[in-house]
Order: sequence, then C-alpha cells, then structure tokens
Amino acid sequence: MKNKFYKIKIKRKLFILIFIIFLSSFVSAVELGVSPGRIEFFGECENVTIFATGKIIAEDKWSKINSNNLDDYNLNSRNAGVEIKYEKNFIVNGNKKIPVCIEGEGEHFGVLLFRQEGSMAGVGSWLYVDINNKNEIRKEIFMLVPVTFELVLLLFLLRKL
Amino acid sequence: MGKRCIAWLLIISVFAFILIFLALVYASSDTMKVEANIFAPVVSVEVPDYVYFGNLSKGYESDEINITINNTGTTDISVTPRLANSQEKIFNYTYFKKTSSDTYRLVGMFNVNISRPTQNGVKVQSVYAKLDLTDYDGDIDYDMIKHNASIIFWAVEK
Repeated sequence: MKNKFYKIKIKRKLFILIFIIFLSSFVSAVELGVSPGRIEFFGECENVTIFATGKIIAEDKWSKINSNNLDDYNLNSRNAGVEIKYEKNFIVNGNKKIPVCIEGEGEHFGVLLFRQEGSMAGVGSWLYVDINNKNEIRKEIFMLVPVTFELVLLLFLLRKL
Repeated sequence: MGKRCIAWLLIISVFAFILIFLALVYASSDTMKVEANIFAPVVSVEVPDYVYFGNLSKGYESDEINITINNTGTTDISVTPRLANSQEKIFNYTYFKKTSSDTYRLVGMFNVNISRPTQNGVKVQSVYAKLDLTDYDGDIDYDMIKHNASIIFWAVEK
C-alpha cells in the first residue's frame, strides 16, 4: 500500500518536471543578425550577410534626410527615386549572403530591414547611396591629365629629334 | 644626331626613374608580417518569442512585463519596437520604458540603445512593457479568445 502511494508521488513529481520543461520551451528567444550594419553604394552591387535560422522577409525604406532614427524612413524606393534589387523572401540555415544592387542618380539614404517570420526579431542595415555621373566624368578627366602630360612630353621630345 | 641621342636618353631616363620609384615603393623591407581577419560589424539581436500581457478588460492596464533584449552582435545598436500589423487597435496602446523610474512611452515613440558586448559576449538590456486600456474608447471583440499583434524589435547600428 505504501509502495503504491510512493509510486503515485514519484509519478506526480515526474509529471510536474515534464510540465516545467514543456513550459520552458515556450519561453525561448530568437536571434537574428546582419552584417555589415552600414553599406555604401557608389554604383555597384554589395553583399549583405544574414545570420538566422528560418524564413526571412526583407524590405527597404528610404528617407530624405540622413538619420539614425527609423521613424524618418517612411518612403518607398520609387518615391525616393531609387531602383533596388534583392531577394525579398528566403530561407536561412545559419548564414546567407544576399546581393543588393542599386540604380539611380544622386545621394540617397535608406535602410534594408530583415525580419524572421513568426518572431519579434528584426535587424537593419543602413544604406548610403551616392551615384553621381558628374563625379565619374570628373574622375575620368582627372585621370586623363597625367596621360596627356606624358604624351605632350613625348611629342615634344620626338620633335626635337 | 647628338640631339636625337640626348632625347632618347631623356625618354629612357624618365621611364627608368618611374621604374625605380615603383620598385622602391613595392620593395620589401625587413619588417615583421602581421595578419588578422577583420570582420564587418554584425548587428545581432535576441528577443523573446512572444510577450503575454495576461487577462485584461477595457478601462484597465496590464501588469508590467519585463522583456529581455540581448545585443549578440559586435556593434552598438538602437532597438525600436514597432507594431507590424495594427489590425487590433488595442495594441496601439502598448507602452515601453527602459527603467522602472522612467515614464512610459507609446509604441513607435520608444527606442533603447544597447552598447556592444565584450569580446564574444552578450549585452543584456531589460525593458518594461504594459498594455494600457485605461483611455481606450474603441470597440473590443469580446468573443475573440486571444487578441494578438506582432511587435517587431528592430535593431540597427547606432
């Protein structure tokens, strides 16, 4: 009779233990990461690495001002005058490199946001875009100066021959 | 003929000068070679799966809930909680504060800065949250068993 009582007591303790373990599994946390935290675009594609396990949803937001406050980023890419290409939905198991390509002229400020489906975690990378064709032309002209100087020098020397 | 020789000598000497200059720039010296892998800063955050405000009626506020946010990255971050879907208007009355002595700020008006952790560590930051329906004058669907909304804790480099 006593043995039976003890067995019931042990079973009850086991049940409580399993119940606590069951409950603790619900108080888990989700980790999500992105690198780099800030990307600069000068007319090329750049890579962003996502660290997560699960389905990721990506979106981009833009601002007229250079700000570190997410609330200032309420424009979409079309309104900001930028064309951005990246994978919007994807599954990550550990880490994944995502190529991000941006087209558009001028200086733009954006943020690329990633969140894990069904979780409260979200991370973002600041985007700084400076695609200026005038600057490119200026650079090319600047590069041509020493070449032209060398050619003039050579021509001058050959004329002396 | 003499002038031509001088001119050629000048051309050769200019190119020789450039070559010597480049050779000097790229010449290896007796220095110790050091190497390191430098990774770009990682913005990483760890937040709970969900927050449960408990049982609540219109005109009342929930208990204060403690939410732990971990900076698991390698840079200082700013974390902003935002409602992902505002279909249930009651969750627009979610409030946050950093310390117990702070005043509560409405979701969307609150953010918390978390400094970067020490090497391979985690920086833990607690925030307080509550659902305050004291001033809520909208309708509530009492037939619905569980009211829910998604709050995303957005982490960005500070």
